[in-house]
Amino acid sequence: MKKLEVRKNTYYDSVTLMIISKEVKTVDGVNEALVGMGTDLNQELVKNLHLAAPGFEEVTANDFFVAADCDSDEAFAAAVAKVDELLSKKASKGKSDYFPPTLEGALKVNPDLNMAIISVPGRHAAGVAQNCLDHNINVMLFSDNVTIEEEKELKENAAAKELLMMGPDCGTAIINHVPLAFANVVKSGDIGMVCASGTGAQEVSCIIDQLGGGISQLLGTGGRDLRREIGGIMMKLCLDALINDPKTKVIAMVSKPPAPEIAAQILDQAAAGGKPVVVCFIGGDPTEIEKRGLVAACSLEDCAHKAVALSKGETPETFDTFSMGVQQAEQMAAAEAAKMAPTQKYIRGLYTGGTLCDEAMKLLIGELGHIQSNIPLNPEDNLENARTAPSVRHTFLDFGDDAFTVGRPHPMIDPSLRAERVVQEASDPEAAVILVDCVIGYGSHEDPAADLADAIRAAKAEASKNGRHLAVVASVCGTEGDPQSRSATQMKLADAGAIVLPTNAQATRFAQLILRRL
Amino acid sequence: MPVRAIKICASLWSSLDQEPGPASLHSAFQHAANLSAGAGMLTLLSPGKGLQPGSAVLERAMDFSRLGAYSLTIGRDGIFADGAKLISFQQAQRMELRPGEALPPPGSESFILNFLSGRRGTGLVCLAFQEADNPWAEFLSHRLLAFRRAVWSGEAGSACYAVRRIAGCGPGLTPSSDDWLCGYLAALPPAFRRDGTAALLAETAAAATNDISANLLRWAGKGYFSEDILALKRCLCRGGGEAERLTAMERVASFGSSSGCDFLTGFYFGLLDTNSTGGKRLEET
Repeated sequence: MKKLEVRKNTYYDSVTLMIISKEVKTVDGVNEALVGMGTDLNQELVKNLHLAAPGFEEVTANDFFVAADCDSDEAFAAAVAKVDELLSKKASKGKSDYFPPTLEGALKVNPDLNMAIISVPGRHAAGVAQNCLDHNINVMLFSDNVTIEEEKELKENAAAKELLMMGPDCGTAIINHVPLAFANVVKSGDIGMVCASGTGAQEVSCIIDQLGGGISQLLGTGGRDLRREIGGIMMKLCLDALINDPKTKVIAMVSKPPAPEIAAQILDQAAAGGKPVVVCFIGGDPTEIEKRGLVAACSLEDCAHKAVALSKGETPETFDTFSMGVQQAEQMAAAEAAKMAPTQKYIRGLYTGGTLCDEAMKLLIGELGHIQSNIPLNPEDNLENARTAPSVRHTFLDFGDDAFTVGRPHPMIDPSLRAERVVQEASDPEAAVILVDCVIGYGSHEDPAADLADAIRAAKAEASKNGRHLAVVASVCGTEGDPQSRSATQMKLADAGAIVLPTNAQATRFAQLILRRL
Repeated sequence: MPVRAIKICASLWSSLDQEPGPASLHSAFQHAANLSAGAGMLTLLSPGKGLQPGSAVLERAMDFSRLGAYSLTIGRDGIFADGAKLISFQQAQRMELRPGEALPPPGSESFILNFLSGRRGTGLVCLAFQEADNPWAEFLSHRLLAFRRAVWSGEAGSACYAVRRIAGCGPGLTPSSDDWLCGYLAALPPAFRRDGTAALLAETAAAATNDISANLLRWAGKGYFSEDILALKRCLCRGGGEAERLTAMERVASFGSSSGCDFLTGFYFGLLDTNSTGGKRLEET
C-alpha cells in the first residue's frame, strides 16, 4: 500500500534528510520509500516510482514528505516513528547555549522561570528587577548603583509577594544547592544562611564545608538591607523562609552591625523562630544577641564552627585560636619577626573580598588603634585616592571598592591590580607584613593564585634585595570542590613563600603575632 | 550582550534599511537559520561556516530554533528580538561575494573530476562518471544533458524549458539538481551574467523549488557565490598547488550533506562545457 506523511512548511537540514531517507527503508514492512521536499520534480519522481498516495498532489515545494510503499499501516506507522525518533535525536543533539535578549523572550522559552540574576548598569537595574517581580520572579540583583529609595521600593514590592529581592550589590547565593554568581561548591546540609555580605557568606559557607557541615540555602540581602532606611526587609523575609524551611536545622546570620533598632527586630524574630541561630554581626557587640538566647560569633570562622557544632547537636564553643596550635603559630611568627629590619613596623592588608578586609581590620583595630583604608572603620582613617596614594602606616585596601573598580572588573575576576600593589608595597621599608586573601569558586578568576604567587615572589625578592624580610600571610576562601581547588591554590601561594593559614581570621591573628614582636 | 556577526555579505548589508524592518524566522537548523525580511531571505550561520550570499556568520553558536519565539526586526545595525539587539552587524566584515571575470583555465575540470571520483556515491556525482546509481540521478541524467545543450544553443526559451525540467529534483533541503545548477552557473563565462541569461535561468528554476533553494539560485544567477566557492575559483585560476586545490575543493564539498558535491558536479560540467565551446554559444560561433 502507498502511504504518505507530510510536514507542511517544514525544513530539515540535508544531513538529517539523508539519514532519514536511509533509515526509513530499513524498517520492517517498508518496501520502498522516498523522502524529500515536495517540489514538482520530486513529486514527479514519486509518481514514477509508484509511491504516490492519495493527497500527494497537495504537497508543495516547501513541505517535507515521506512517501512509502508498505506492507501495512503498522509498518508505515513504524516508519514515521523512526523519522520522529531521528528528528528528536537530532534536535536534542543540536541544543546549545541560548541567551534570550529580554525577560519576555526568556519567559516565552520557559514560562516557569522563577529566579533571575540581574547584572545591568545601575541606572537600569531597578526597572529590570521590578519587571521580574511583576512576573513573580525572585531576584538576585548583582548590580550596584541603585538608589536607596529604589531598593526600598523593590524590597517592599517583593515582600508583599513573598519573593526574594536579594541585593542590590548581592554577589553570593546558593539556592537549592545551585551556586549563583560568586559562590563555592559546598556540601548540602542543614545549615541555612542569610547574609548581608558577599565574601562573608563565602568564607562562612566554605569553613562549614571544611568542618564537615553543609548548606541548605544561602540567601543574600545586599549590604544595605540592615540600614535604617531599608529596615532589614529582606533579612526578615529570608530569616522567616529559613525558619519555615524543613531542611534547615540551624541558621547562620552574617552582617555588619545593623542599626540598633533594626538589630533588635531581627534578633527578636530570630529568637522567636525556634531554631538555633548563630549571629555574626562582624565586630559588633554580642550582648544583645546573647541576651535573647542566640549564639554570637566573634568572627566568620567562629560563626562556621558554632553553626556546625549546633548542626551536630554539640555545644558551640568559641573558636579564636589557630588550627596548628597557638605554640606553633607563635614560634613561626617569632621566626618571621626575627628576620625583619628595624624599619619594618607596619601591616598592609590587600584584599579582594570587602567583608574579609573589614573583618581583618576589626580583629586588629583594638591593638593597632588606627588603620588607614578606603573602607575605614573610623572616618578619620580614610585613605584618599587609595588607588594611587601610597600606604600610610597600617593600611588596608579593599580592591573591590568603587575606588578600584571604576572601569575595571571586580578583583576577584581580575586580580592584577592587587598583584601590582603587593609588589609595590615591597619597596616601602616600613612594610613588615602583607596580609592577603585569595577567593576562589564560581565567578572568580580561573587561577587567582597564579598572579598573586608571582607578585609574592617579586615582592619578597625586592625586599630581600634591600636587606629586608617581607612576611606575606595569606588565606584561601574556597573548597576542594571549587574549580580552582582550595589545596592547589594554597600550595601555589605557599610555594611562592607565603604563610598560608586556613581562614582569614587565623591569617589576621597570625599577622598580629608578628606585629607584636616588632 | 548581542551576538556579534563576524562576516556579512556586503550586498545583503547594502540592501538592508537603516531603520529595522520586520522579519520572521523561516527555518532553523543546528548551524543555520533563515529569516524572511523585506530585503529577501537572510541566512545566519554558526562560526566556522563559510559566508554564503545573503548570509552573516556569527561569532558564537546560537540555538536558532528559539528565534521563532520573538518579534524580529532587521536593519543595518543588526537583528532585534522584541526590540532588544540580539545580533550586531556593526563590526562585521562586509565581504563582496562576486568572483572576478577570470575563468579557471582548460584542464581545471580534470582536477575536480579526480576529486569527485572518491565521492561517487554522493548525490549526483555519479553522473560525472556516466553512471546513475540512484533514482534522482537516473531521473535527471538525460534532462541535465538536454539542459546543457539548450544553454549553449543560445536559445533562451529552450534553456528555460530545460531548466524547469531539472529544478527542484533530489533529496536534501536544497534538492540536488538545484545545487548542481548553482555549480553550473558558477562555471559559465561572464557573458551569461551580463546578458541576463544566468539570472533568467536561476529565476526560472527558483519558481520550481523551495524557498531556501530558490534563494541560493537567485544569488547564483546574479553571480554571487559562497566565499568557499570563490576561493576555489581563485585557486584554479591562478594555478594553485595540489594541496591548496584539495583544501579548497574539500571546503566546498563539505557544505550540507550532498549539496557541496552536487555543486562541484555542476561546476565540473559547466567548466567542461565552457572549455569545450571556447566559452561561446552556438549563435556566437
